[in-house]
This record gives sequence, structure tokens and C-alpha cells, in this order.
Amino acid sequence: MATGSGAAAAAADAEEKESGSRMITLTSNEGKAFVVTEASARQSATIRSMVDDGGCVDKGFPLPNVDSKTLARVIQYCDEHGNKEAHTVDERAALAKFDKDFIAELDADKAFLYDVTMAANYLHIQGLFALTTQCIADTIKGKTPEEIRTAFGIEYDLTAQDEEEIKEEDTHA
Amino acid sequence: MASSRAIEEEEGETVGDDRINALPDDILLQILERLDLPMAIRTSTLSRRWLQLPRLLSHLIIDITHFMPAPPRRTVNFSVDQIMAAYTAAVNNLLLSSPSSSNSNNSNSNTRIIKRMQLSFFLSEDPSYLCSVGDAVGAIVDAGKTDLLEFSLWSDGKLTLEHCQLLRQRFMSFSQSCPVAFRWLTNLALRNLAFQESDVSHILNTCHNLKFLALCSCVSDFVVLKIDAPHSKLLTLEIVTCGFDRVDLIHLPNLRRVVCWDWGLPNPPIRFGNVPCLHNMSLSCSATNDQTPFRLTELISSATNLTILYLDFQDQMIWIEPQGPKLLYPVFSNVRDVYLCNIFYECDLNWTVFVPEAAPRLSNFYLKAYYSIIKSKIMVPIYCENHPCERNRCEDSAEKVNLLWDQMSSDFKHHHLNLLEITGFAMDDKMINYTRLIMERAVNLKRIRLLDQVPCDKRNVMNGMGSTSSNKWRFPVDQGEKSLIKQKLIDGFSSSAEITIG
Repeated sequence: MATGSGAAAAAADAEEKESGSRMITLTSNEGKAFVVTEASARQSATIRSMVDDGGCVDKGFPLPNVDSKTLARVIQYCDEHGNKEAHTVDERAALAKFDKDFIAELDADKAFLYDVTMAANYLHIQGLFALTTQCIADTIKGKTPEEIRTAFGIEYDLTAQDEEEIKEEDTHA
Repeated sequence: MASSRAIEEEEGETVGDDRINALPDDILLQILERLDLPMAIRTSTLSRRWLQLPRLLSHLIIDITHFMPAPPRRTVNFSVDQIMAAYTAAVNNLLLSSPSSSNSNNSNSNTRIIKRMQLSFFLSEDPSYLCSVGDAVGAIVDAGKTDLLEFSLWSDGKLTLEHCQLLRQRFMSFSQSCPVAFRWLTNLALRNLAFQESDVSHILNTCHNLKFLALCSCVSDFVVLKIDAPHSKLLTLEIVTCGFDRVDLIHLPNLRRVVCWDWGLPNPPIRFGNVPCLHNMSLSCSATNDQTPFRLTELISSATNLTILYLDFQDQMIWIEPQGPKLLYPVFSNVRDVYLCNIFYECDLNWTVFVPEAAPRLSNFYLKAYYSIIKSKIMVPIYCENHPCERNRCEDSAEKVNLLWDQMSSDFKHHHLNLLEITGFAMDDKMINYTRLIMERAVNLKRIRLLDQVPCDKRNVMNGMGSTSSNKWRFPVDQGEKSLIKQKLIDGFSSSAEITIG
């Protein structure tokens, strides 16, 4: 429903675009530097708050928890969502298409998917985190425990006592 | 290489590495919260790591339908008693057993923090299930760390008045026997209860934290339901398909939103007393022949903060009576968005001008005309979800009388109206003249959005006809028609409003 928040959102948008012209350097744990637009970096709430707190934009931001390969992929997402508009139906559809392809590619490499999930969590990139966790949840959905173990490579290590407990709970639910 | 590993996994030849276990608990929990509860619980059998995770979930939706037979068998006899027995056991299991309770080092280990808990269950005959669920919930929420606690209560049995009275009794004793849970309750949905005059006031005065209350298919035992709760925090009240003689909202200091849909008894369905925060009101009803139109001032006579008004006539008789600005102004003085929906196609539209006349701050005016194309018997049966054409036309629908209004003041001008949106616009004189009337009156109008009727795919497929093939009403399709309409609209005007069609 239409509310008065539209004007505020537009003002925030304008501000973001203005500040988005600056460039920011993100450094992976291997010391590799990635230069991104501020609009792209602001997709991360962690970096956004550091920038807004007057952090060292010029010196760049070292990210000791993220390796280069993961950071490159995360930046790919942030560039798309930070630098492109999402006002019209077509623009939103293009972003949705990007997300779909992006996650499909990640899903084929589970270990990398977890790395990106961890990075999205650490950098507080809400959209990316929702995308990757939903993808993992979708893999679990509708599968038997054995199928889930196979899909994720989980080793079965329950003891007889654990199994007994589960059985007991099962009779309740 | 990563991709080859994935392929191997799919083929099931080798098991991929167990790196999902490297994800910390809080991430795994957020993944589980994206699954429904039975699926999330099933993951506890994956490995030791996953065993305790469901009991760490901080958002729980415990839905009774997960304990019922699958849909095709749902109509077959199932025993509410059995379902509630399973439900109660599951709730206790999920809520009471704390994973770290064996760890005696932590004195707080028995207190679990659950931020959001939504439970739906039967108001069962056997009170022991209800008490057990209520107590288990109460033990968790009493820590004061729960932001949302919802009970959505289902009814069993044949819905006679006697049974609805019984359901009311069950509910009242449930709320009395579990005071802690009800004190922390924020959302409550009740179905098929037969209320006595002051029951709802009593509920609101007992459940101090209630913010959302929905009453569905409830009746009032032939009395006016009076709601007087001066200390209530209630924000939203929804009354859907209820058979109350009327609801009188005597005092609800924080109430912001009221929804009243498909009321069954004489108009008006509701009266507003002291509701100073009322912001949003939504009324929707398909009038029956014993309902006569009412004036909005019969509903509400004092000044309010009413900002958004939604009225849906469901393609039947217009059940409100337009009135002049003098009496309506106090009610409409803050109104910014008005939706008048599903006005039957044959109805004149000029009467709707009473809204901008009485609402000086109106900014967005949305109109939705509805034309049923159901004229031929071939088109029956029709069913499509969430579209007005799905609704069964009742035998006792009120006659659709055209509504003409002649009290419009000739020199009235509106200075704030920004947007006029007409859904179900058609290329006919009535629509064009109406749009021109608003353009003439609303001197600062910025945008006019003309849209086709919301398509009903199934109907069009079944009929083999889209909205463009009827002669009676037609939305402009090609550029030529669109510019013709625009030409007709602005002819002789200096209006600077931007017109978009489709």
C-alpha cells in the first residue's frame, strides 16, 4: 500500500548514488585488493556502518575472514545489486534473473556455497545471505535424511543411544 | 575441481566433504528456519551435530495441520483427540527439553529464548491438552524475551449455536487456566465462538500485550458486542464473516487498523467510539437484501486519524450512502488514500466524488470497477482463487441499484489530489466523463493511471476469451486507441496530469 515513505526512500537513494561515486578497496585474507564502488560496498551492512562512522575509506578495509575467490564472488553480487537500479518491473526482473543464475552456479559447488554464505553472514549482506541460506534450505526440503546426508556429504555418527532418543520423540510427533 | 566433485556427489559414488558442518550453529539455524517445522525436526537425525539444533530454534511455527492426515484424507474421520495428543507432546518436547539442561554449570540453562512463537491448535474438548500447551509456552515466554506469541485456535465439531457457546466456554477456561501465556500473548485468532456482550473486552483486559486480534466466523448470541479496553495495546482488529448484531468499539486507545469483511447482519456492522489512533479501515461485503446502505458517519462520528480507507462492494449493491462534506469532514480530515473497489460495472461513478469533497488531504484515489462477464451458462463452473469472479452469487444478494448523487457542489475544487488510478477502465463515455470530472475538480492532479481489469487467467482460458473480445467494455489496447482516449481526456483542459494507460 502506498505510504509516505516513498519520498524518504527516494532521498536515501539519491544520497546513496552521490556517495556511490567514491571507490573503496577491500582486501582479502591473502592480501589481494579489490576496488569497488561505494554503492557496491554499501550492500554490506558491516562496511556501510564503518563508512558511515567515518571509517578509513582511503586506507580500505581488510577482510581477514574472506579469501580472494570468495570475495570476488561476493563482489559480483554486490556490484549487480549496488550499481544497478531496481525501480521498474524490467529492472527488477533483470536482478531476479541475475540472482537465479548466480545461485544456480554456486549450488553446483557446495563447499564454495558455504564460503559465500559465511562471508555474506560476516559482511551482513542481507540479500545474499537470504539467497544462499534459502538455496541450502531448498536442497533439504522434501528429502529423506539419507538423501540429505548424500547431498551435503554428512557423515552418519549417531550412537545407538541417540537413535533410541529420536525414536522416542518420533512417537510423539 | 569443484564442479567435478559436485557431479560425483550427484552420482552418489563418493560422498562430498562434510563442510556444511563447518557452518556455525547460528547459520544452520537460520537455514532450518526457512523450512517448515516437521522438515526442520527431521534434520535432527542427520548426525550428532544436527541432533540438538531444532531445540535451539528461536522462531517456531507449530502448525496443527502438520499433525493431521494429508489433504485428501483430511475430510475422513480424524480424531481431534489423537491430533491434539500428538501436538501437545511435540510442543512439550520442543519447548521443555533444553539442550543444555544437563549442563549444571549454567544456572540459566533451562531458560530458552524464543523470539517468535506461532502456534495453531484445536480448542479441544479435553482441557488437559490446552493446559499443557499453555503451560509449556508460559514457561518460555515468562522470561520476557519473546517478541511475538501467536495462538490461532481451531474449532472442531458441528457449528451449531450450542457448540459455538461451548467453544467460547472452552476458550474462557483455557485463558483462565494459563494466565502466564495469555498475559504475554501478542496475536490471537479465534474461530466459531459465540461471544457474550463483554467477552472481547474481558479478553483484551486479560491479555495486556495483545496487539492483533482476529475473530473469524464468530457470533454474538444476538447482542451487540461491546469492546471497551482502555488499557489495551491492541493495534489491529480483524472481524471476518462474523454474525454479530453489531460491534461497538467503545474505547481502544491504540487501535490503528480495523478490518471488517463479509458481515452477515444488518448495517452498519461496526461503530467506532473512542479510537483516537484509528489509521486504516477496511470494509468489504457483498450486500444481502436485508441490508440497507448506511452513511459513514453512522460508523464513526468523531474526529480520527483515519488515513487509509478501503471499501470493497464485491460487484454487488453499493452499501454506503454518499454524504456531504459538512458531517463527514471531521472523519475524513486526515484521509490520504481511498480505495473504492469492485463497483459493479453498470453503476454510475459520479457519486464517488463525495470522497474528495470531504477529504481535503486526499492524495491518492483508487477506483476499481468490476464487470462480470458471466452471462452465458457455458462459463459455469468458475473457480479461480483470489479473484472476485470466484465468489458465489448468493440467492439473497441485494438488488444492484444504480447510485446517483446530485449533491455535488458545482464550484468544488480539490488541491491535494495527486493520483487517480482506475482499474477496470473501459473505452466508454461514462468512464471518460468520470475521469474528466476528477481532472476538472482536482486542480493539482499529477498522475492518472488507467488499468485493465485484473485478469483472471483461468476464466479466460475456459472461455477462450480475453478481456479484449467483449464489446460491452473494452480496455484500449493499441497505441491508436490509447492516444484517442488521452485526446478525449484532455480535450479543452489545461491539466498537466501525466496519463498512463495500461
